[in-house]
Parts: sequence; structure tokens; C-alpha cells
Amino acid sequence: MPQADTVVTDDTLPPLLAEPWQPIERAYCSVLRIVVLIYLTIITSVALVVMWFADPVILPVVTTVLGGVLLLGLFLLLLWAPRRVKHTQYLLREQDVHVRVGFWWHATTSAANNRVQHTEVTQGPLERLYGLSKLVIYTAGGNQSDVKIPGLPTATAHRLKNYLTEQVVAEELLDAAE
Amino acid sequence: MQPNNQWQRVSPIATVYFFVKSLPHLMNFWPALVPLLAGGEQVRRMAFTYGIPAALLLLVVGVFLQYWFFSFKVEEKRLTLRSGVLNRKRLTLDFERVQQADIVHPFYFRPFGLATLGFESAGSAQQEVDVPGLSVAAAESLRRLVLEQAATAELPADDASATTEADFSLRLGPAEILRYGLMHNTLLYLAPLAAPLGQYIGPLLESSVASIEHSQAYALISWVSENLAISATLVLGLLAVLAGTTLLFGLSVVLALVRYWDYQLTRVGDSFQYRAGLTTIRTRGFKHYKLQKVTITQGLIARLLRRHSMVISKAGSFGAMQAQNNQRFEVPVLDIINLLLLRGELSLPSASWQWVSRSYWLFPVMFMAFLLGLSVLFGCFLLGTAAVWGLLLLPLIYLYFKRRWYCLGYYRDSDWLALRTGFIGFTERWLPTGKLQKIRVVATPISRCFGLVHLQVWSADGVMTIPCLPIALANQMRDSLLTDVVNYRRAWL
Repeated sequence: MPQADTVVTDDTLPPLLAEPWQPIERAYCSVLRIVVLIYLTIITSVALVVMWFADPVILPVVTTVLGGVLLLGLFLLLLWAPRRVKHTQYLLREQDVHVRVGFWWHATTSAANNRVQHTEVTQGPLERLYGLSKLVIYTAGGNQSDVKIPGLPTATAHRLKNYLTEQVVAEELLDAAE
Repeated sequence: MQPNNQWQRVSPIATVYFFVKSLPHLMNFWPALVPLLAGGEQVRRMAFTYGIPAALLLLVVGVFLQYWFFSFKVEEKRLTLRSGVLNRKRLTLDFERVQQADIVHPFYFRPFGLATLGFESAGSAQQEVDVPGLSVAAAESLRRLVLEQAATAELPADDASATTEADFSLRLGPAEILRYGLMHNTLLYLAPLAAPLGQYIGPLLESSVASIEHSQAYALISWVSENLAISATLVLGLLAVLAGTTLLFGLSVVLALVRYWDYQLTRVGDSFQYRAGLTTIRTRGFKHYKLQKVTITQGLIARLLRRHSMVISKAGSFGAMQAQNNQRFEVPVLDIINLLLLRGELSLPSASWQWVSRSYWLFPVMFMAFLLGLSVLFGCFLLGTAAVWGLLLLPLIYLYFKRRWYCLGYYRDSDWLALRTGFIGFTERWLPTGKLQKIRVVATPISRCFGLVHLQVWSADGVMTIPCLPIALANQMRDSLLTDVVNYRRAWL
């Protein structure tokens, strides 16, 4: 059974760091911000209702918690969301696919194309507003074994999905040929 | 059993199987009991005279209908099942997709020479299929047909599987199975649940002391208590604990014997198979190329007994952890010679374990020391200088994390990635590198400051994390592991 591959001639695949990583759309920042705003609105309204009806004794506690949440929200809106988008990059190569994310917790996730079980393009209402989609690539590793690329222009997401699907089909044909 | 494209019915004895299967469903009818409790004497009498016979009749008819509507068809490449009375179900199982084929001989089939053939298939929707009530010969031949098909789908047909001569075999005697019972005492985890009973046992002991005083046994107890200068109640308490533990271990041993009685493992060509059980004999097999992970464990008791256990997993179902455990290919007890032999059979190399960075113990020790220091300082204000004794915990913390680091090792060669963890015993997990599903390199804010990252790899049976590796090394390992994956073009699932 031939193990050699015509594409990979080196001992290892080329190192990832030097590769041309693709950034995701800046507009995804707005999606993240709106999500944060929605959560903030919900929490604030709940807190206001509590403050309105609750015992005055616990008022300072609620105010402190709400203040903390609003500060956190401000941080997420102004610092986290733009940096998250800036630090989310993806890389599709001939044989493998990679995503790196993270503001503090950096994570680079890689999967080989011949382990892809199926792919999926999802689009939430907010993403639709900005013409964005998320590409989800599933492998057979069970829970959390999917690779997610958010904030892609919808056309790009579908193009990448088709590319990966073709790759998977080509792999299967190769399997059958052997 | 040869492919014949005919719908076939299973033996009528299979009704017992359907009966056993439908028992759990009876629990769904518990709301029917509510009127019994709420209703008057009249309702209850009616229920007993008509209700119970009607329910039994319904059950019997239901079971019979289930049997009547259950049929299967063996084709060249697939097995099709029809089942269901009201909701008809038709299930097609491609032999190629079969992960595992078990033959189970439940006690109620054994007098009739029948067996249940169980299949498990891979795919996005994991399926389990049972064909009950086949004659043993038919079950064996269908299983062989399926496994051969599954093999020929990817591999050139080897004549080795046709012959029954085993290339490797391993047999475990009752003494070994007994050791398994001692090693894997799952019942021991139930012991803490018994703790609340302590408050009842105390007074019970007191009263039993009084009654025992008059008996012969008391002479012994009083002798012990006098000579060791401890109270008779304490002696009795210790005896009770001893008896309880013995009972738990005894039960565990009995369960182990029932499950693994006459365990025989054989390898013919690249297919492994084991056969074991006292009441229900189970035959389970897998093909070497479907292997996703090998786990070798040795716990505290196992270490004392100098034995190991091995679990070989294939692509797993993650939602149902319990089901998965029941589906695994287990080798319950291995002494060192058998372990080495079996490792050779699976072509596991002998590993030279690499340590991860020292930060793996340094960080937690520093963090815990900081916390301990703070709480001691705080304690000094509240309790006085006595709180300083708390610092004695520090060496313990140090020893714990140092030992944990010392026991942690990873190993990588051209075919395998392995991780060994442990404290007193150990667990070794071996993943074939060509079958890895996903690889992730994670850097936490603190680890990044020290140039360290964690390497996580997903196999088709769970995730494994190698912590605290230098960034360059982890990246290089990731790249080389990915190379192995893209170059692995053989069938793997």
C-alpha cells in the first residue's frame, strides 16, 4: 500500500507560523458587540426589577454586582471584542485546516482534511445582518472535536465548505483506489 | 449463514429476549398506579381482578407481536432488520461499517443452543443492533461473514481468518479474575454512602455489646480490648468495618467472576477476540486497524498484586459513557509477562518517557504556598500563633505536585503518541498518531509568560492533554503529528 504522498515530500508539513494566515471579517466585531449588549440589557433589566421590588437592605449588593457586570461589559465591548476578532485567523492548506483564536488564552486548532467527517455553514440572525457565516468542520472525535471558523463572508464560507467537501471526496476515492 | 436475500424470523425462544427488553418499559406505566392509590377499595379490587391479568395479557401479546414483526435479511454486503409493531422500523447495516460484533449467550438462551448477535456500527449516528435467538452456529457464521466483509472492504482477503488456528492466545484462570475483583472494586466507591448509617450503627453497637457480653465471642473481644487497652466498642467497630470491607471485596470478586469467567483472548490474523462470562457468555472482537486507543492501568491494589489492566477502544460514542464502557474490549488482568506479550501483539513499543517542564509542579506549588501563606497569616490574627502549624502542609503540597510531575511522561514515535499519568499507580494511554482527529495548542496567559503551552490531541475515543511543553517543541510536535495524519491513507474507522 503506497504511503508516500505526492504533495508532502518533506519529513513534516511546513511550520504553521510562517504561513499566510487569513484574518476574519472586521464586521464580526459588531456581531460580538451586539451579543454583549443583549446580555448586558437582560442582566441590567433583571437587576433594575430586583432593585425596584427588593428589600432596601440588599440594594447596595445588587448595585455593586450590577456595577461590576457593567464594567465587565464595557471591557468586553471596548477591548475584548476587537482584539478577539483581530486574533482570530484561519488557514486552509492543501492537506489541513487551522484556526487560531484568543485574546489571553491562545489556542491553535488543527485538523487534517482526511479526518473531516462533515462540514456545516451556520448563520445566526445577527450574522445574517452583516452578511457573515460560521464554518464548522466536524471530525470523528466526539464532543468538541469540531473546528469553528466564525466571521467569514457568507460566500467565502460556502466556497471553503465546497473546497473541503471536494477534498474529502477525493480522499475517499483515493482510499477506494488502493 | 449465507447471504440469501430472504426475510427470516428468529427462533420463538427469542420472545424471552423481547420480554426481558420490554421490562424496563413497564416503568413508563407507573402513572397508572396513581388511581390505585387515590381511588377507593372498589377501584383497587377491580384492578386486582381485571387490571393485573389484563396488563399481563397485554405484555404477553406485545412481546409476541414484537417477536412476530421482527425479521432480518442477510444480503451480500448488508444486514437489514425489520422491527416494531405500530411504528415499523427498517434498519440497514452495512457490514463495512461494523465496528464490533459480539455474540452473547444469555442464560435463558443457553439450554436451547441459541445466542444473541450484537453489532455496533460507526458513523455520525452510532447504532447498536441486536439479533436475538439465532442458533449458535448461525450466529457464529453470520459474525464471521460480517467481520470478513468489514475486513475485505479495505484489506486484501487473508486466508488466515478462515482458519481457526490462533496466532496468539491468552487465558485467564479464576485466580487471575479474582485479582481483577480486588483491583477494580467499583463497589468501594459506594462505601462513603454508608457513612450516614454510622449514627445508627453506634447505638446498635452499644446494645450489641451488652448481648455479646454473655456469649463466647466476648471472651475474645475482651481479651483484645484488655491487651490493647482499647474499648470493646472500638474493637466491635473495627470488626464491623473489617466485615463491611470484606463484604464489598467479596461482592466485587463475585461480580468479576460472573463477568470474566474463563476469559480467553485470541488473535487470528489482525482480528482480536475474547470470550468470557459465567451466566452470559460474551464473545467480542475487533480488527486491529480499528484500534483508536489503548489504555493500560495499574491502580494501588493492582500495584500490590503486580497486575495490570488493558482497555482497547475503537471509535466511541461520547454521549453514553456507560454504554461505551460496556462496549469496550477489555483485558481485565495482565501479569507482567502477559502484558509484554500483548503489547507486542499490538505493536506498542517500550517507551522512554519524556518529562514535561518543571513548571508543571512549580506553578501549583507556588500558588498553593501563596494561598497557604495568606491563610496562615489570616489564621494568626484569629487563632494566634497556633496557626503557624498550618505551614506543615507545605511539604505535603510540595511532595504531591512533585510526585505528580515525576509520574507524568509523554512519548512519541513514528506510530504512537503516549501519555503516562499517575500518583501511586499509573495510566498509560496510547494513540496511533495516524488516526488523530484534531490537535490543539493552547497557551494560557501565565504559561505564555514562561514560553509554555499545552498540547491537546483528540482521538476518536476522547481527548488527551500533554501539559507544559516548550512552545517550539509543541509546535514542532503538532506539525509532525499532522504530517502523520495526512499521510495515513489507510482505513482507520
